[in-house]
Amino acid sequence: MQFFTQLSIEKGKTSFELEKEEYQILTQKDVSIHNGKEKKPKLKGVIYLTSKRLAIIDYSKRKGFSTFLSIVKKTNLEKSTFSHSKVIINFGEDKFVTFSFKSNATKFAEKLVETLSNKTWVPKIVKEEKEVTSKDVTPKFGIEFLLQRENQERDSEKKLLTQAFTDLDALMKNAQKMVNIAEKFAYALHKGETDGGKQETDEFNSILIEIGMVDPVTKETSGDIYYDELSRQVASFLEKVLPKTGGMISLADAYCLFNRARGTELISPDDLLKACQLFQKLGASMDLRKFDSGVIVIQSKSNNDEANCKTIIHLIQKNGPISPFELAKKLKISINLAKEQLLNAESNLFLCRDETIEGLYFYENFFLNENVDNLDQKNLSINENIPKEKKETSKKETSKKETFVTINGEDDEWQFV
Amino acid sequence: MNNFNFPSYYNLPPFFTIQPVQATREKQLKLWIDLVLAFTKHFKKYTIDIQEDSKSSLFNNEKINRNLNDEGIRLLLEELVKHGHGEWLDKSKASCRIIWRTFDEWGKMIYKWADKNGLVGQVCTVYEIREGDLAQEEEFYGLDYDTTIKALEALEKQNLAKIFKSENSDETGVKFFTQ
Repeated sequence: MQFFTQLSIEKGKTSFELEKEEYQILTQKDVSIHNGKEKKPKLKGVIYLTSKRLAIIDYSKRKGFSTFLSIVKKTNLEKSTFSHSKVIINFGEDKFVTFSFKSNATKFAEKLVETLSNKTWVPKIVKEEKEVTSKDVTPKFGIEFLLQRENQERDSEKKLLTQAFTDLDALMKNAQKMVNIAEKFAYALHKGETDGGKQETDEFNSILIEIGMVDPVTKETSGDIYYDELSRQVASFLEKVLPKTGGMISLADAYCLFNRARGTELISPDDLLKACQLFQKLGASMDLRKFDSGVIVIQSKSNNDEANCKTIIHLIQKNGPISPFELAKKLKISINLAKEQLLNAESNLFLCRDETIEGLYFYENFFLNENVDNLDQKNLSINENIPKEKKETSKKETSKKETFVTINGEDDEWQFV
Repeated sequence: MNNFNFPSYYNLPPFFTIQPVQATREKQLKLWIDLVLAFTKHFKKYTIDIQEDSKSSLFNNEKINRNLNDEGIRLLLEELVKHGHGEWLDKSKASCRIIWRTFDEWGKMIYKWADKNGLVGQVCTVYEIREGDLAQEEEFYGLDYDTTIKALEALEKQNLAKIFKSENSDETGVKFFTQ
């Protein structure tokens, strides 16, 4: 196995990591790898054909092997009607490995040959650019030369962009190139080389995230392990999204984001649900969670209820009673999700509620405070944030007779006397 | 007499929303019971009528513009009854007798009074307990007949008294025994 490197899948990850500019082409389950003609397989699992590598992974052991397509000299298909068909990968000088397929060997062999002849591991866009510069540019020096080269680059990128958008087929073909351009922009942005303001940068960053799925898992590329593969892709996609959404995202939101990232080959809500139900089996760093109200969310494992409750309590101590709407705004999550978090904190006895026609507000749960008979109202800072209308009523009251609070009219704040 | 000191939690809006979470609600109702008993005791109030009393300051905090709604009051009264601090006065559960002292507590108080006045071992009438000159300074002075009898029955259970029923309610007698 000298031409193979060992792969291992870290805890919390669901699949091996693709390199930069690498994308998946085809997968097939129930494949075993044999050294030369040995009978005993080295490993059984799922085989992956990517633009750069050939990898086989045993998910039960979280281990695998991979080799680079660039060192493959020859491939051979040994068809067999009665036993497993074999694909033989030759590295030259009689050194070879055998992949034994339970099914779909022919399809895999065809795709492998096609990939090898396309040399997908060679970064194309760089090559093309070199050709352009070497042919058309008369060598010059200084700033003029730099400007001209930059213009030329921009022209070719512009051409590529227009070309890509003329027709969906072309777009698909150019997807890899588009991503290359996007990556280049990302690199430039990273170095702070653009004039755009911060907001623009942020917007562009989010677009980059949305564009970044080169190899959507489809039923065609992964066949009967479609849901496993989809689940892996959803997990690695959401790993990037969850930290920005407070460790939790509703299934509906995840559905929208994921399909937007795919752009084409959209999946159905049912597919997503099925994929998410496999998280636990695949050892993903997130899991599905159903709230008592029936709302289903995807929750990162690092995100726990206790931390959420603490955050909420902290916000209440700082700003007073909180409504789902306010919490949603503060944590930048959807109102539904905010409400679920509040209800959850309530059922864990951290909060209690004030429900009126004006809405639902949550307070720290003073009922279970040991000193409930003698609460220090200043520390609870409760009176300060009773919704507006009520403040006005109380204003009349306070001006009439002696109470322990008066109002500073201009600032509309409570002061304790 | 008219200045009742409400507890601090009376000024917190969630106190007026019946809490949906069991553990929290139990504690909330306990606080409500404490408040109702303290309030009725302060104003020597023996019944709460849901219709009439829903506008009372007990269930209405105008300062924070919150009130306990009828449903909440009914739930609270149910809880009072469950804890022996209340008794429904009608089948429709519209009004409730508030027992701010349990019959046991009343009984003890009466016995203490009897002991103090050398009535143990003797027979006295319920009238003497409720409206007699010796009882004028006592908290149970003016207590209604039913409650008094129930208090005495509680003593009877502990073998501290024996009731002699009579057709004329005020002639009903009671004999106190030594402990």
